[in-house]
Amino acid sequence: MSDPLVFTRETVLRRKAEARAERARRFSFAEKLEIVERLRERVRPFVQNRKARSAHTASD
Amino acid sequence: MVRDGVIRNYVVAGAVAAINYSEPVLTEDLDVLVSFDGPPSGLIDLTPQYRYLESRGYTRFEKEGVVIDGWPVQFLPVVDDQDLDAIASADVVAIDELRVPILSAIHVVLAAIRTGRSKDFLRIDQFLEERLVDLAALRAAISRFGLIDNWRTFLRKSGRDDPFAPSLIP
Repeated sequence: MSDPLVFTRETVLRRKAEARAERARRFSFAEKLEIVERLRERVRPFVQNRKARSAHTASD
Repeated sequence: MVRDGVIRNYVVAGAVAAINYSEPVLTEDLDVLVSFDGPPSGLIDLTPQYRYLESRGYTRFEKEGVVIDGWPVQFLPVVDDQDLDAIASADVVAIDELRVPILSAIHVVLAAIRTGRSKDFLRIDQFLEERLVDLAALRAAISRFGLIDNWRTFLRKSGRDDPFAPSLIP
């Protein structure tokens, strides 16, 4: 049996791709959309901060 | 908008369409490919569509889109046969009681191949890597819609091996 702690970079990339595909299958479109909306809420302060900074730079 | 004759048909496109097949990713806007009566044209006037939305209270613009239910929505007019096929061959997803047409996986990739920005190349790579698209159908569609040069550019810039056998590249 192969040691699960010994692997190649290709193995890691393949496992990550499989995990992403599994996450893609696990949720319905409506559920994914809700996740995206929560992500948008989470980054909103950063987006607003970025906008404020670029507005400040533009007015300099 | 379809019911009131403001647009003829539509399909959800862009990153929101991509997440129908992939894991959820952050996106800030919603792209909608829309068709109108008559053949596709290079010059489109969206004034009637925006007036229609304005009359229903949608007056705020953000990121070149009109904000609907918190999403900046960008209307992209159909310009060619690829877009017409994207609408004709749309998948359908359910959101509550609504049945919403959404780009097929092949058209998500075709749109990314045509647009050709770095983030589009990442999306193509993801769809190939995770086997989210049928390769034989994609190969035929790239050829059908005249995207072989764009495909060559993707392969060159991404460093990917051509997944098609036989190759599309002469």
